[in-house]
Amino acid sequence: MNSETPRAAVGALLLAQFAVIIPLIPTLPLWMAAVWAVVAAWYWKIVYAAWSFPGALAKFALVALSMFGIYLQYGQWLGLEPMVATLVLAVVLKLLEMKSRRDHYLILLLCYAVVACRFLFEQQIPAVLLAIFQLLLLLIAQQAMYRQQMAWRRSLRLASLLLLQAIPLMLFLFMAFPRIGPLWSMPLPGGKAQTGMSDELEFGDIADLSQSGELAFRVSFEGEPPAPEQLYWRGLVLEEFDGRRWSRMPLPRWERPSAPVLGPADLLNYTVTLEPGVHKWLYTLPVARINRSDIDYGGDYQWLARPALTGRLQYSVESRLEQRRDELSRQRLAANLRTPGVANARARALADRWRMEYTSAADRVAAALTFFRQGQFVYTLQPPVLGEDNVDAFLFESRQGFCEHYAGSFVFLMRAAGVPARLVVGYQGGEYNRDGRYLLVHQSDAHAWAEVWLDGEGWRRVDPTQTVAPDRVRLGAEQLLRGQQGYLGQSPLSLRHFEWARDLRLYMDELNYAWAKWVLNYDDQTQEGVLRRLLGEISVQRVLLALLIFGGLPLAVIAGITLWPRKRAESKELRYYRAAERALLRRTGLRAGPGDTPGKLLRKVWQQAPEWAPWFGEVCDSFEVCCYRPGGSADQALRRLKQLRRPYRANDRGSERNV
Amino acid sequence: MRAAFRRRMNAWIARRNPPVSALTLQQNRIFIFPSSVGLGFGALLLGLLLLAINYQNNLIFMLVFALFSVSIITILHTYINLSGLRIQAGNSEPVFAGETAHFHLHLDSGSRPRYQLQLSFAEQRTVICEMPRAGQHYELRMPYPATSRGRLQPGRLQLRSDFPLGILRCWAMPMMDWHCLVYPRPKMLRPLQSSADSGEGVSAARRDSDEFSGFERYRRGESPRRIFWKAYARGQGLFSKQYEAGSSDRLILDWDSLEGLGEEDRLSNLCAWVLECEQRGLAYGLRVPGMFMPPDLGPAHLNAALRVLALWGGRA
Repeated sequence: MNSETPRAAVGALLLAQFAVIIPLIPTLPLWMAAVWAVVAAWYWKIVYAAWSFPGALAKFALVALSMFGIYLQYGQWLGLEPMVATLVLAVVLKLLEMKSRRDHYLILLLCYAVVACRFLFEQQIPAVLLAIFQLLLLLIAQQAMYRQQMAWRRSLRLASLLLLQAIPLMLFLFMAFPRIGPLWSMPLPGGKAQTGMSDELEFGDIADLSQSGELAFRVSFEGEPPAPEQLYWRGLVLEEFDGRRWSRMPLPRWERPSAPVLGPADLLNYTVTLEPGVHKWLYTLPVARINRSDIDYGGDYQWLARPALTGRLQYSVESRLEQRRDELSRQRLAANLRTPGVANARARALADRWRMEYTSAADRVAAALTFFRQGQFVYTLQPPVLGEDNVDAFLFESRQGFCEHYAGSFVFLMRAAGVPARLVVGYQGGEYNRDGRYLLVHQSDAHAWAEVWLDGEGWRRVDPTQTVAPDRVRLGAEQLLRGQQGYLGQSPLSLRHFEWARDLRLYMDELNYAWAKWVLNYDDQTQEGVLRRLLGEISVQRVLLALLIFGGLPLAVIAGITLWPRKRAESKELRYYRAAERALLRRTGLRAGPGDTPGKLLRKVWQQAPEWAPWFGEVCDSFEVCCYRPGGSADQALRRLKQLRRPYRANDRGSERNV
Repeated sequence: MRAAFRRRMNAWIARRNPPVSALTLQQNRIFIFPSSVGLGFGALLLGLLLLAINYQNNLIFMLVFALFSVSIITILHTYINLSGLRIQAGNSEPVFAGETAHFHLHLDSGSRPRYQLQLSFAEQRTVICEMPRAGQHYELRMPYPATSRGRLQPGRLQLRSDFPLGILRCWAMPMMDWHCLVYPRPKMLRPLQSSADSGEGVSAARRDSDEFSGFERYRRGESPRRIFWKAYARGQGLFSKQYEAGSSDRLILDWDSLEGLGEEDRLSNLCAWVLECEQRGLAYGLRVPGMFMPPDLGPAHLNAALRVLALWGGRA
């Protein structure tokens, strides 16, 4: 090992490396931890000169083997995880080559990159706290290269000081640095299965989704939120039915629907913040408008992002809930009557009977709802698996199902009865955080409902689930289902029925929401607003001026404080001596004239106030020892001087002289 | 081009830093530049910035800005580590050419602790000094090779500090008012002959068989060979035997006796003779062009003789 690099610096580096790598372990293959442990132990042995550096062949084998391991783990090298794994591997294996300060630095710098990479996978507040801790350790490890002895306390103090002093400039840069779009596309974090809606639906899908306590999105309303019964968060409209699965009907290329125009009154404004993920469609309360350039209107009151947006997405919406939904094309209406195949004969027969019996579409809808109401259906999370004729099997045999069973079979019945109908998926309800004044929508609020076309009225929302289990909509899925076995068993949501746990959870969520709103989702639009409020107007001069103020001023203040020619701190002995002088002045009125030495003052005391002279003589002696004889005897003299600050008179405590 | 730049740079530094014997480092003498590590750090930040832009990841942005701000703040801390440091040039012991001279340097940490000060002369070994407390004093010996006789001036002192993070290097190049006497390298090219007859090289020599003239109290610096050991053994103290030395048998080390040698070789030879005489306890005189030293013996005489040899010919 290089004699230049202090041994303590190696220890600090290993520690920092450990702190940087360990939190990534859930993302990385587990065996990398083992590789790190082996390499670190090896290096430690090298440092203590017990072992030597591995030969070129051993190093090559180790690198090749690990790279192969990464390939085995991920099946590719270009994904985000394998790239991060490779970076970590480089940080780990470089240890076996660390001979010079240069290598030492390379590892340190790469460690900073590893800290950054963790933010690609984890962006909550604890991740930031962890990163601060990691940064402190790295800064300490970096300083360790410049200290002969490891001084943890001093290093920590300096590292914290550096970070604290960096805050004003950092915040300003964060606010003002232009947010441009991605320069080229990067591999996205994969691996973890995305929870959420897909654009296809089969019986049982939403029931599965409902088991998840994960947050889907948050909504903050301007003003009062609508009643729970109105919170139907529309995601996708599924019109294509192949006899078993529901899916989206692709829009013809030439048809570009224009976004609905909202009436002037009763507008509802709110902001939706989607949790990180890949977002292809956005949730709104119809009829809604989203004014954002990267989001298109997809027809049927759906809002689609293309290409898909990633990460956390925030958008503001204006909605008018009362507006009639009468957007329609003949072609679509015809498609909404299709029930392909010959399956589900009993359901078709039932629908035919309604078609004969009732002339108006509204009556047929009512008949179907009555059928559901009277059929002793059970609303359950664990419906039995249904066979080929799934609608028949559900309607006439099992009669146990979740919202998609009700909505799906309702749409099937309506189409068979000659009423255009389609399936809508999204979320229903949500949990209102009263303190934070926003709504939390969880995956467990996922819902499916139906829409039927009524001449003269347009699209009407029909929720057959509500007919079967009215509480589902009034109280939310969680209130209704929490008694059922398996519902949200693993998630903190299961604690919802404890008041304190609920409060705590909502409080934490409020914090997270503010975090998401102001930090994670800070984008060019927010930036513009913030800068405008801060600077009045956005111009180059103003931004530069602000940079000067935010970046330069704190720097100048810090520089002033640290570099101001400090009044040379008075040494202890001088302080004690002055105290003694003051005491002398109080008691005898004697003071040292300008230029008087302690000796001269002492002579004055002997002449004019001899009873104080023994004490002051001793003060002078101790003071001189402190000044002119550095070393062990000075410490003793300093202690004596400290006692002597408080004077004594020769005649009453003269014995002290002999101590 | 590069050489011209370097020359200009040196001239500029020289103008700013006249030779002084003591100084306190202030902003006019301290220069700060990014070190190679700092350039690497900058490249890393740039890479992370790209990562942040491409992933639109605000936390990575934050990290980049934090590290950038830290590096800005570090300018201050790097500067503080040198600012206010007091340096004082100490003396240095004379050496023979070909040896390594050591210049003493006194450092006073002043009101702050100082970490990892790297001191060196240009292209010489670096000495590292650390004063972890305020008000500390430190004395360093800075090595510098003495290649030729004369007065040695080591040139600019380089004082460098990368503390705390190594991304910036802060340096000062004070010119200290420093010199060290370098004696000629002793080379015995002609033998020292102690016989008067053999003439060559030594104009006159005193024989040990000279007439004995009595005892005198021993003086320090006299050859131990002259000590009258019998008297010492009897407990009468140290006496030395004195011999009558006529003017003819005084040992004069003469420049002119070394014909056929170059100037430096003559000086080297004379130096070797001086040392030889001193070792053998022979009183010697020295004659070089323009200078004569009457014979004598002892450290003071030795130093004076060597000094003459070192500075002969107006060597500064």
